[in-house]
Amino acid sequence: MRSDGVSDLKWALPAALVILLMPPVLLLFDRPMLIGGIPLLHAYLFLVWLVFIGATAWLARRLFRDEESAKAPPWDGN
Amino acid sequence: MLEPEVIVAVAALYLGGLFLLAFVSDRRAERGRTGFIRSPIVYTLSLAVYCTSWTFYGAVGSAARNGVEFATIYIGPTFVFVGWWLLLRKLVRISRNQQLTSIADFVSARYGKSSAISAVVTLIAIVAIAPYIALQLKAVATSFEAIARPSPFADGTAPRPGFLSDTGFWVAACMAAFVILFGTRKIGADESHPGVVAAIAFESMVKLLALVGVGVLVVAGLSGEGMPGVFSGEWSPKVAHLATLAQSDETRWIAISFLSAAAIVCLPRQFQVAVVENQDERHLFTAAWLFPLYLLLISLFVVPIALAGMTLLPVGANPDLYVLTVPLAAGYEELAILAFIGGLSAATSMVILSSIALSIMISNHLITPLLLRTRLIESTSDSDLSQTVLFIRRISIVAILALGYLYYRTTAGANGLASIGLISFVGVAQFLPALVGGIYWRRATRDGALSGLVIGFVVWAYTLLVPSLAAGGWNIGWLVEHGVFDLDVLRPTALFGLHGWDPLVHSLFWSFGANLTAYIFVSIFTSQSPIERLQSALFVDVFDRSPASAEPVLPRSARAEDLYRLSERILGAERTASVFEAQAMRQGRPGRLPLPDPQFIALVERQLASGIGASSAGLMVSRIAKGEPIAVDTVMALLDETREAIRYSRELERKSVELERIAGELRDANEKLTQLDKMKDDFLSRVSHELRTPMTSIRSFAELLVHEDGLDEARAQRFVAIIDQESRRLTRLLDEILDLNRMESGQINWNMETIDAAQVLQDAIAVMTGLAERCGVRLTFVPVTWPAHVDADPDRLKQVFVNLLSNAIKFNTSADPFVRMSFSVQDGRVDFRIVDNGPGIPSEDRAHLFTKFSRAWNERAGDAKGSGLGLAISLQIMRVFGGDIRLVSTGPTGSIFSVTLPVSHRHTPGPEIVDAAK
Repeated sequence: MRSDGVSDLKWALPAALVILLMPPVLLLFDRPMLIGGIPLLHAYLFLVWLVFIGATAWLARRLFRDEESAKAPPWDGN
Repeated sequence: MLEPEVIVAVAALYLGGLFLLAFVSDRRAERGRTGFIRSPIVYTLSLAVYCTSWTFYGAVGSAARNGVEFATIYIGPTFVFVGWWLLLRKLVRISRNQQLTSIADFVSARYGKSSAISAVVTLIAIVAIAPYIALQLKAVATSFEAIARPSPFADGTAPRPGFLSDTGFWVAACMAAFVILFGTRKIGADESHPGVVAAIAFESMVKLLALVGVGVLVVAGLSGEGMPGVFSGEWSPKVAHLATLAQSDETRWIAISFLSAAAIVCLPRQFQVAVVENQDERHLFTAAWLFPLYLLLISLFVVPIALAGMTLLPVGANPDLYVLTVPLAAGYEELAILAFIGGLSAATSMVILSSIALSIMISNHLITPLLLRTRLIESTSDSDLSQTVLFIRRISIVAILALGYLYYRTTAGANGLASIGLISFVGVAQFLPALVGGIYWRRATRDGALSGLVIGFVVWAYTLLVPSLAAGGWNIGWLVEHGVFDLDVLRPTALFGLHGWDPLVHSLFWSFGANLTAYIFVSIFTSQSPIERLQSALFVDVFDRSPASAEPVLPRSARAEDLYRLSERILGAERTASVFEAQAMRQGRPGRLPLPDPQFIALVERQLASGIGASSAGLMVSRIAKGEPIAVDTVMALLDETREAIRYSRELERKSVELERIAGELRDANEKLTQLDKMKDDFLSRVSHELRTPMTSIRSFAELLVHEDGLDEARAQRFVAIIDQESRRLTRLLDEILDLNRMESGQINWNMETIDAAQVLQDAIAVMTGLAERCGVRLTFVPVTWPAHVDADPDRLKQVFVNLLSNAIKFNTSADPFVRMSFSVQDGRVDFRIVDNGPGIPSEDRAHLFTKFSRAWNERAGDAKGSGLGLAISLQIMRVFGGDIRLVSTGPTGSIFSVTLPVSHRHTPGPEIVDAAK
C-alpha cells in the first residue's frame, strides 16, 4: 500500500470503527441467534473489536517506521 | 465466608507490597534507572487505571441489568485510541512542550493562562469526581462486607449508622492515609510520579488476572453445573436479555459510548496518566492497540460471570458482587480472595490517581492563586513554597476523600455502581468542548470556554446530580418533582418538557448541548487577548513549529537574581541551580546566572508552571518581570515573525526551483535562437549566391552586347535570349521568396472552395506529362472511382502536386523510372501518395527538407525549372488547408511522399458512392 494511503488510515480507521459499532449497523446484528453458544451481537462486537485492534497495531507499526525513517538524518551521522 | 481479620491482613499485605513497589521504583527513577518503568507496556498498563472497581464489579452488575450495554464503557476509549493520531498525540505533544500538569492547567494555558478557567475546571472536577470516588468506597466496603459476612449474598449496600462502625469510613480513611504516603512525599521536578505509575501498572495486572481468573472458573469449571451454556446450549428466558440490545437502548448505547470516549481524555486521572505522565510520545504507538486489547480482555468474561451469577445465586443477590460471590458460592475461597484483591486494586489505583491529580489541581489552581492574590505568601519573600504546596496537597486529598465519603454515605445505597460512575462521566464530559476545541479551533476564546464550562456544569448538576442526591434521600425531592421556582418546564428530569428520555441521555443532551452552544457562540462574539492569541497559536499549530525554531515569547525583562530566588522557592535549590547553570552554559556566560532574556524568562515560567500550574506561575513571574504593556500588535508580530520566517523560506525554496526551471528554458530557447540565426545567415548567403549567378551572366552578356561592336545578329540574338532566360529565372526566384514570405506572414488571399482533390491531381498530371515524356518517366495514377472533396484553393493545391511531381520526375535517375500516384480516404482525411523509384533523399537533408533553409534547394536551384523553395512553399500551402505534407519513407529504391487533407464538411460523399466503391 502506498504511504499516503496508509497515512489516511489514521482517520479512516477510527471512523470505520465508530460506524460499525454504532446503531444502525450494530442493530443489524441484534438478532436472537447463537453462534457456537455465543449470541450473534456479542460475537460481532468482539470480532470487530479484535480486528480493529489488529489493524491499529499494524498501522502503528507502519507509522512508527515512517516516523523513525523520517527522523533519521540523510547522512550516516558518523 | 472468610474471617474479617484474614481479609484485612491480606489487604494490608497487598497495599504494603504496593507501597514498597512504588518506593523502589521512585528510588530507581531518581538514580536514572528507569528502564522498565518508562516502557510503553507500563505506560499502557497505567492507562488501565480507567478500569476501576466500576469495571471490576460494576460491569458484571451492569451486564446483569442491561445486557451488552456494559461494553460501551470500553468501546468509547477504543475509538479514541484507534484514532490516537488525531487527538492524543496532539495533547501529549502540547503538554510536553508547555510542561503542563493537569487538565485544568492544559485548558487554562490554552485560554491565555486564565486562572478563572483553571479554577472552574478544578471545581467541576472535584464535584464530578466525588460520586466516582464514592463508587470505589462503596465497592470496597460492600465487597469486604460480602466476603466477610455470614450471608454473602445479602445486598448489603446501605452504610451502617455511625462512622466508626461503617466499613466505608474506614476504607476512606485508609485510602487517604495511603494516598498521602504515596503521592505527596515530595513535589516533583515535573508532575510525574514514576513510583505511582509503576504501582498503578502493577495493579492493572492484578485486576486483569483476578477477573480473568474468575472468568476462567466460570467458563471452564462451572459450565457443567446447570448453567446455561456459556459456549453452548440454550439461553433461558431469564437471561435472554443479556444476549440482545433492547431497541429502546439505542440512544443510551450512543450516549454512553460518547461519554466513555470523552472520559478517557477528560477524567483528571486519565489526563494525568495518558498526557502528563507520558514519558515518550512514541509510547502511544504501542498503547494505541495494547490498551484497547486490555479493555477487550477485561470485558471478555463479564457476560459469562453475569450469567453464572444469575443462574447460580439466589434472586436477591447483588449483581454488582457476582465477581466475588460466584467463586464463593462455588466454594473457591482462594479465588474469592483473589477477586477481592482485584477489586481492591481497581479501587485503590483509581483513588490514588484521582486524588493525586485532583490535589495537584486544587493546590495549583485554587489555593496557590488565592494565596498569591491575597498576598498571604509574598512572591518576594524568601520562604520555601514547596513545603506549603505539599501541605495543601495533603489537605486536599483528605478533603477529596471526605467529599467522596459524604456522597457515598448519603446516596450510594440507592444506585448501582455503573449509574454512579456515569454521573461522573457526564460531569467531566463538560471539559470536552474547551479541550478539543482548544487544540483545533484557533478562534476559541477564554470567555467562550468559561461560559461553556459554567453552563454545562450547572445544567449537569441540575439535571443529573440533583436527582441522584434526591434519590439518595436528600431532602430535595420537591425540586425534582416540581422544578426550580415551581416551574414545571424546569423539572430536572424533563427539562423544557423533554419527557420520556433516559435521565442520563436527557442530562447529556442538555448539558453538553448548552455547553457546546455557549462555547461556540460566545467565542465567535468575543475577542482574544494578546496572550490568548499567543497561546492559541502555540496549541493549535503545535505540529507546524519545528522544535529547532525559536518559540515566540513575550518581550520582558527581569533581574536574574529575582528569577533565581523565585525559582528556588518553588522548585528548590538543586533544581533551580541546574536549570540556571545549564542556561548560562548555553549562553556561554561564566557563573550560574544566565542573561535574563525573554526566552529565558519564558523558560523559568514554564519550569515554575510544572510545580504550581501555568496561571500561578504566570502571575508570580509577571510580578518580577517587567515588560511593555502587551498589545495585540506585539503578539501578532511575534506570531507573524515565526510564521513569516517559515513562509519566507518556503517561498524562497519554491522560487529557486522555479528559477532553475526558467533558466533551463532560457538555455533551450537561446540554443534554438542561435541555431535559427545561423540558419538565417546561411539562407541569406545562399540567396545572395543564387541571385549572383544569374546576375553575373546577365551582366557579362549585357557587357558583350554593349562593348563588342562587330557582333553578328545570331550571336546577339542568343545573348539576348540568355539574358531573358536568366532574368526570368531571377524573377521567379524572387517571386518565390516573396511568395513564401507572404504565406508565412499570412498576407495571401486564398481562393478557398470545395473541390475534388483527385481532379486537381489529374490536372497536375496533365501538366507534367510533357516533362515526364521528355525524361522518359512513366506516370501512373491508380484509377479513381469516387471524388475526394476537400476545401482548398485549387491553383495552390495544383502547385503542390506539380512541385512534388516535378521533383519526382527530375531527380529520378533510375534505369526504368516511374512515378506512381494513388489516394485513399481514411478517418475523414484524404491521403495522396506519390511514389517514385529515384535515388532517395540524402539523410542529412531529410530534417530540413521542408524548410527554406534546406541544403538541398540550392543544389536544385541550379535547375532551370525551380528555385528549390518548392517544398517549403508546398508545406505552407498544405498547412493553410489544414493538411500536411511529409516524407513517408526514402531510400535507394525510391521515396514516398504523402499529402493529406481533411475531407470537406460541406460535402460528404454519399453512401451509395462509398458502397459502389466497395
